[in-house]
Amino acid sequence: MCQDCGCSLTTNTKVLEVQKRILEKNDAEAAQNRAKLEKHGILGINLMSSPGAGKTTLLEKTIELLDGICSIGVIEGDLETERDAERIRQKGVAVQQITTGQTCHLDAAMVHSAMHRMPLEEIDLLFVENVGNLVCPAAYDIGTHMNVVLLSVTEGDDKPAKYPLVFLKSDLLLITKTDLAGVLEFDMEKAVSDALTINPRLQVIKLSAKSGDGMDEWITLLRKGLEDRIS
Amino acid sequence: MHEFSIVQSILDTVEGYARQSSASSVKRVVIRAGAISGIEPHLLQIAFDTFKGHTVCSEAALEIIIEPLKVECCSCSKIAENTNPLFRCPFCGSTDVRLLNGEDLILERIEMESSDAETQDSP
Repeated sequence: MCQDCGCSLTTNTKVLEVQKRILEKNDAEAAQNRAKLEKHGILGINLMSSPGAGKTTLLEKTIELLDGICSIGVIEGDLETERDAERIRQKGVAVQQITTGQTCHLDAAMVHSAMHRMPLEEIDLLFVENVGNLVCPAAYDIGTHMNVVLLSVTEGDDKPAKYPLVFLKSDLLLITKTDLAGVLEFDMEKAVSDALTINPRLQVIKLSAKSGDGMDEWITLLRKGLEDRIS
Repeated sequence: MHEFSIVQSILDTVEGYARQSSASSVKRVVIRAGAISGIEPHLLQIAFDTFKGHTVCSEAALEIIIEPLKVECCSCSKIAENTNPLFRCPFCGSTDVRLLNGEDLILERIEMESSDAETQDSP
């Protein structure tokens, strides 16, 4: 009999040991995305950074420099507007915009549904420009092959130490807008050494999409990634 | 601020288990959050309390166990917790360390209640 009210119902407390990763569903969807990219021989790259670090500008220049070398597709993630997609569309490549509304990151399911709308059979290199945010995107595997974090010199050299997770989860750090480094007294050595302390495996390229400095190193890395994918 | 998305994943998963177990309500949800799992416990708590209404978790408390960062030094083989800087061995100074713990976000345990009509006391 129930001890609270005397009714004939008993309540049974049950403790269930679950031990399950909370993002397990996302990780499974990410694995599916990766398999789909691989089926089409596509190299997938996830670009992460704060807002305004230069992801879209980097993409515009990268598309120009890879013209005739490989076919590029872009998935753009933003809270609102089609502006970035429109900028990329002007470059003549396949692009899909994901507007996340209030969501501060892309997850594997969002990327999956955008991939459905892309002509995957025509694409060699797929960039996913994540929502501008140095925190949340790092927590979600979206199913690409390489995580790239951009740190612009305008943000300051303290960001790797302050936002370690994204640097830990990345394969490549691009320090962008290096043409402004002198004016801003950006301590390049400190930024790089902090980032490498967090993640010793991190590759680092310093570049300026505006002046073109360092872009050849980035393009060489992409071409190498494409060759490895095909072979 | 992806805590709302994390809470949504927690609620969906718990809902599934509660249904499987024919639970009438969930009393407690225990999660283990690594120190560098990327979540802010305070915000996760707020998000949970905001979204649990009208779900099987509407009366549930969320317990967050923080799991410290644990690294093993590849140079001196010692194990250290809560290192600062995060990935530098406090014993020998090497940055060649291996992450053992602190990255995961795990749903540990669910405490549920199910109501069963009592039979033995019935007249």
